[in-house]
Amino acid sequence: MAIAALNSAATGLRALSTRIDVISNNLANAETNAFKASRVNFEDLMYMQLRQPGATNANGDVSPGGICVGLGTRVSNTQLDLSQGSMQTTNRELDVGIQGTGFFKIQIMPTINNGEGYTRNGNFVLNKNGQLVVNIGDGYRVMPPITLPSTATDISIAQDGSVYYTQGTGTTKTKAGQLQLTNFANPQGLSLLGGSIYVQTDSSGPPVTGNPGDNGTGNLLEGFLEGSNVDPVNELVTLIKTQRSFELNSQSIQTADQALETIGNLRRSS
Amino acid sequence: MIYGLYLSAAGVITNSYRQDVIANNIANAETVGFKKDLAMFQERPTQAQETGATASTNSMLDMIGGGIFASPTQVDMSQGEMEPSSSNLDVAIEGNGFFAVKDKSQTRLTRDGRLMIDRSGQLIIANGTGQPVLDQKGNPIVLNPAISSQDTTIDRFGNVTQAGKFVDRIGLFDVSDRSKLTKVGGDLISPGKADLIPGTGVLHGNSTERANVEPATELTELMDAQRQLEANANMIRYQDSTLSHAVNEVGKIS
Repeated sequence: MAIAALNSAATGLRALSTRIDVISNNLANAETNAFKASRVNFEDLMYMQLRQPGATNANGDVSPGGICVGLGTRVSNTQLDLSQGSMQTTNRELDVGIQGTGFFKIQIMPTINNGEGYTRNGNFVLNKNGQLVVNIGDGYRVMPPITLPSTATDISIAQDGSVYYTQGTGTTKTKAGQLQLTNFANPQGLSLLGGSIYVQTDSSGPPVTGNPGDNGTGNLLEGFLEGSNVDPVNELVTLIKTQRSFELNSQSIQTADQALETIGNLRRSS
Repeated sequence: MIYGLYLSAAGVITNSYRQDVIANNIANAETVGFKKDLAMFQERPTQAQETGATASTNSMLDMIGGGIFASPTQVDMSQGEMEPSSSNLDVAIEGNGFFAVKDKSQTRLTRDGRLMIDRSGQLIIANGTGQPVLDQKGNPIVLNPAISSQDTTIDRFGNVTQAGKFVDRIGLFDVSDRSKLTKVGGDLISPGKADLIPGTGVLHGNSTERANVEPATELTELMDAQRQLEANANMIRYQDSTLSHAVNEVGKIS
């Protein structure tokens, strides 16, 4: 009795405010390299069956349908939008963008997923030992590791992931290692760790690692960085829709409240 | 006199039920593939009329009617708006039909076409539980898990291709009598005992179907329900005061 309406509207408010949180995070990361936007999915909650369909009345008539009242909505999951972000030219020799699918494998904290993390951020730098690391957080090493000598100059990364360098003023190119790309059956099932690092989960499936171009993975583009795939217009339109739906739900609450007030004031002492 | 009180009370209860239904519609205004419920009413015959025992009651009562009564909730199956989305596994049905999913041992229908591939390669719907989507023959659709979901496409007839190779065809189903459908939550609809027949709609890739909840209509309905509830509540009050007169004033000994 109107209480269901109050609760349904409250579930709507709660779910929509989650969406506002997610959109705000997307917009805040509109300039983060290799950031992937998330979207919130909703689903309806269970239904209260006031009368089962097919119930029989005293006359023996079978009712053609039931009476059911839904109990609101909830966030079913947040889903990663893994579409390609726009490529931005940097002309830096150690900046690599992935054109197509796939992730770089990096060595993260050993307590998390045996230290295996994945990222699409190809902003590489060299650490003091000459190892190729991703320029996020504390600088995570690329797996399998690639080490360049301190005398290396003119480093180049080919489309297929081969890393070459020349010594001093020489002209002969030496291969230092191979950048690999990893794919998943369900990349949307990866868990997010922050710093654009993803971790394998039970729902993502096992990692399939190979050279760029293998297993349907993309090619590498040297001198480019993948930008965020957040589309500000799209996010703002969703934000507007969310706000209006939020207001709409608050109307349900007010109406239900007034109904309860009316019922509460039925008996007036006169 | 007392009889009218109960009729008005029935009016309050049914309008409150109507508010519950509308509140759920509004709460699901952003749920993909949601179809709104319509709270329906019917005039209730008196108990005497219903059982056919009119002779045994006061004939005047038979003329009054028995107030209002909630009749079975109808689901408005009209098409929702198409909204473009960036995921290539988002498909929306245009026209009649439902996707079928296997929920434990039961087949459920849904209009929610946000699909995902789980780790074993099955095509599932992206709701909270993730039930496998069925093909035309009613079997789960198994894809090659080594190929990324970004290389998987679904055309307007439901043909699923992976890296250019045909894998399976998503089934579209319908039932002949939609009033038998019951919603079970989680974007799923139970077909009950109804037989599934092929659906006639076509699929739109990179789209989701918005809920067919129209805010203006819902708010107008909500206001209507509120005022009708108040009107019935006022009727209770009038009848109460008339009763009060009858009891306290008419029989007063001065």
